[in-house]
Amino acid sequence: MDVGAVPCRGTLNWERRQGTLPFLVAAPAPLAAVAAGSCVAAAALSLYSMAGSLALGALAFDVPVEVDSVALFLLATLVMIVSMSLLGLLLCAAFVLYRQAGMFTNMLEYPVWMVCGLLVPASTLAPGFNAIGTLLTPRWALDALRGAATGGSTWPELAACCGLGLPTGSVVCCSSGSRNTAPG
Amino acid sequence: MAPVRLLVIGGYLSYRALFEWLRPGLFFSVMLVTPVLQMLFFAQLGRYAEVADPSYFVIGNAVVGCTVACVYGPILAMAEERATGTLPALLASPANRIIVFVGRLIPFALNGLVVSGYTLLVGSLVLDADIAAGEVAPLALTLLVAAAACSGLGLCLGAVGLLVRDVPFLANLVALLMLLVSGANVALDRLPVGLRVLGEALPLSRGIEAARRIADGEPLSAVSGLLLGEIVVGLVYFVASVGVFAWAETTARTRATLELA
Repeated sequence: MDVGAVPCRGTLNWERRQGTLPFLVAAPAPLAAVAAGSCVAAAALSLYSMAGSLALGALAFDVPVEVDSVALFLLATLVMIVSMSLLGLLLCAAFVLYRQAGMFTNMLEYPVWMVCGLLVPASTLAPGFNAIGTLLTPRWALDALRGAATGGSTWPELAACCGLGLPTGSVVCCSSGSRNTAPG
Repeated sequence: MAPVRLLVIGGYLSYRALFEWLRPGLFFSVMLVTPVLQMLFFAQLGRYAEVADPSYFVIGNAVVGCTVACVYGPILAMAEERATGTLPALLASPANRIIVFVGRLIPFALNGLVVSGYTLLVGSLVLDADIAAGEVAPLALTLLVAAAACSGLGLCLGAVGLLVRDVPFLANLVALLMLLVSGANVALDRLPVGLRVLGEALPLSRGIEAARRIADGEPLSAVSGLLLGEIVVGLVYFVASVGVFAWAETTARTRATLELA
């Protein structure tokens, strides 16, 4: 679940700590383009935590790791990286504007886990919370990954993930356009 | 009088000056909202997996909720001490190190008690955890002991933080470990032996068990052994923190490396 979003929001926070964020904002290159590169790299790098978790489950806790369709699983992983990177980019925009955005996004971690059905099916939640989860790309990315692993439905979930990712990307581009606000 | 002043006022001032999470927005999100959301998440997970009733997770997560103040607090305060350049002044001062450290432990322990008490209150209201009026005082004492022991660990890690660069990583690692091995969400007897030993070597495991037994109706005297054990664990970490700090101080004086770590 942390693949993408968490490392992405961490990258701009690190830029702020190092004092390089004002230069990034002032540079003629679009901030979204700069942050996108960091986010994709961070998301791809953090795939190792996903692989490590699967390996730990298999080796230490005897959890069977069986994938019904390897090709679909890889595709779902790719879509997940892109969608999570977009979500991370959206959070990055908050990081540029607000010094303490990191703490507030940390606060959202458990609710997002719940409404996205990370460990407990979101269908067990109250209908309102379940509806919130359907608006978030991680929910569909997780469903697509599970579908690819168990032989269940995958394509509709991937389509939903991409469909939600596009407006997220648009919001990111728009927010990076209004970067005249001085960073802290 | 001077030692008392150093203990109380020095501890209070360092807490106010160095703990940046005291800003209202951060305090609200980190200290009040996040522990409650964490408790709700694990209660939901436990209910779905049919592991235990919600009160199990309410009490476990209320006790472990103190880590946001008691583990992160001293670590961040020590890092801030270095970042703001006040560490050399602290090292150069003739003040008794033990009094300085006890003074710094008390505010974080009280802060942890507030977080734990608040989480317990919200949990008992939202998830219908049954806590009788007569159990409130023994539970408060248990939470205070657990928070104080946890602050001992936080101080120890804060002192270790003088020697390493990535202090937030250390804090996150320990907080996650305590979530896993303290018995807050996974019973200790279900953990592998190594993790169980680790859980017993860290603070909170005894405090959580004591709090659960008090909530089950046992008197304070029945859990006094657990509370004593929690105090001993906290003292061990406290002594270790003084030792690590003294070692770091010596190293700093001889090699001038303290602020370069």
